[in-house]
Amino acid sequence: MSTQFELIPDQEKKAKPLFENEKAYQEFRASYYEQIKPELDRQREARRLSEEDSRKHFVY
Amino acid sequence: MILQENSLLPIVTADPVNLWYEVMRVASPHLDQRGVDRLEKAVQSRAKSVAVERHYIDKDYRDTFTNFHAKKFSTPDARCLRLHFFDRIIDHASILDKAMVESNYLGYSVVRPTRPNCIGRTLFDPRACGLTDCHISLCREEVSIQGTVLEVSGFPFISQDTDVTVCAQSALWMLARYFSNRYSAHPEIYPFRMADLTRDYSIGRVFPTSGLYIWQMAEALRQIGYSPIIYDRNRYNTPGEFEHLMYTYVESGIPILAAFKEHVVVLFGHRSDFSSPETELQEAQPFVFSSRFNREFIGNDDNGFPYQVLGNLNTDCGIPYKLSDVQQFIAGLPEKVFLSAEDFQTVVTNILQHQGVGYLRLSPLISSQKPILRLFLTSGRSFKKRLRARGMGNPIVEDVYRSLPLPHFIWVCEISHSDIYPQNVLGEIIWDATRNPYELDGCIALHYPEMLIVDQGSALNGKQHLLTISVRSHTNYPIFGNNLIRI
Repeated sequence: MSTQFELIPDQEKKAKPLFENEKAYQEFRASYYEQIKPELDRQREARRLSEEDSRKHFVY
Repeated sequence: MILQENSLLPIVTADPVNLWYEVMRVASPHLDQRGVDRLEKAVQSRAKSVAVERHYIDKDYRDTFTNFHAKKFSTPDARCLRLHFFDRIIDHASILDKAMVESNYLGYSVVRPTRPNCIGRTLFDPRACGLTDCHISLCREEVSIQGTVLEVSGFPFISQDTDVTVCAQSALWMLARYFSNRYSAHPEIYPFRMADLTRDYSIGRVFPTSGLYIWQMAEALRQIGYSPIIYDRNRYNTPGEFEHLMYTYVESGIPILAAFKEHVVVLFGHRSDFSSPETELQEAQPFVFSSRFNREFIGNDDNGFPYQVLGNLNTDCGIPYKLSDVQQFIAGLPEKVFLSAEDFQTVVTNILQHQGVGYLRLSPLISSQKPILRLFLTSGRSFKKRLRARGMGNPIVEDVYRSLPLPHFIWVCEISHSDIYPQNVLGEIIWDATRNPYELDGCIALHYPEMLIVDQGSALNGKQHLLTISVRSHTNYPIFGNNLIRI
């Protein structure tokens, strides 16, 4: 696991986990996913429609 | 005055009024009035001497000559001229001495025997064209003039020959030549090969070309190793969203192909104005993107000359369209960039506003003013190379970034305030550009002035493991500035 390497000397003393436990971490992931999903879906659809539009756009 | 007029390298030196007349006389019949007009607009009165390299074998023209022009009943000359421009009076003795002329070299332009457009491969120093107060992508070339090797940095330009290339192929060529000049991983592509890339994706004949659809241009880029994304203005309805995406790629050092109704150009730089940010700061959004300060793009239009501007005002030296006329653009991303600009924007702005890890909760300093965000793509190698010079606000942050394994490409969102921008920043978020946006593990580091959050787990190819490190003393530090060159 990653703890066997240190990014900085004395990492044990200087760094601590962002989340106190696994439950808090999973709650963060779930809330963040719900937050971003609608916008990512909109962007994906916009790219698909852009590709469709590019089939009719001729330059010369 | 024309020195050694009958030699293979006559040098024209004259006053600005007569220079171009003399150049056309020496360079005829390859160079015509239309070509002179373009060159004169490009370098104007800055050129004091022009060396005319006769019987020049140009790799790009020879490619189209061999594959197309040689098949005509009446064949044009197989050779070209190459014009070398200098900003002082020179003679043949000074050309032999690199030290005497290298700082005066403005660049070169190949003149083809093609009509109606004779201007072939061209590379001018942007300063030679009067370009100032902007940021642009540049590549470098070495140029040999009878054995004297000079250097010139610029963005490649070529005009269409109307047989093998029209604006679509010319724009593709300019983009691809920039990348092949700058990065050894990209192969050099010649015009006929460029045009032939769409052979399997065309209906009807490929040559002589009549033009390309935008999707065919994207396909051509894909064929030579890029990972293109197409954006259509009508699909991005938020005001300024389309221009913001254009800016984000250009700011990342990724030239874009911007398509108008019937024409396409390559854009590779921008000109911004940060002098009075009050209007932008009063807008309702929680952040101000640096793209809001952009006033113009810098680009090459094959129907014009190098380094023209594209804004919302028509200017004499501009591309003859407005920015609002851009209907679509293609961003030719490197193969290993899976995360698009808009997806990065979505994930990073949501992190910044998240109730648990957002700046309103964790950073009183950033919360004290409306943040300015600058989004850009860069390589992990390039980011690390500048850590020492930038300092990153605190030695611990610099040390962590230095030892942290990074992917080939990273997206960066720099966070700043109007009173220190565009010189300095307060922090940044680094995101893995190889991530799917729906994955939640792309956040490599989140750096606020008060703390650093870093994912040690993903950095070591394991499960996400986010660590926080307190930052006790913090200073502002310089923005990252390697993608574009300030002119």
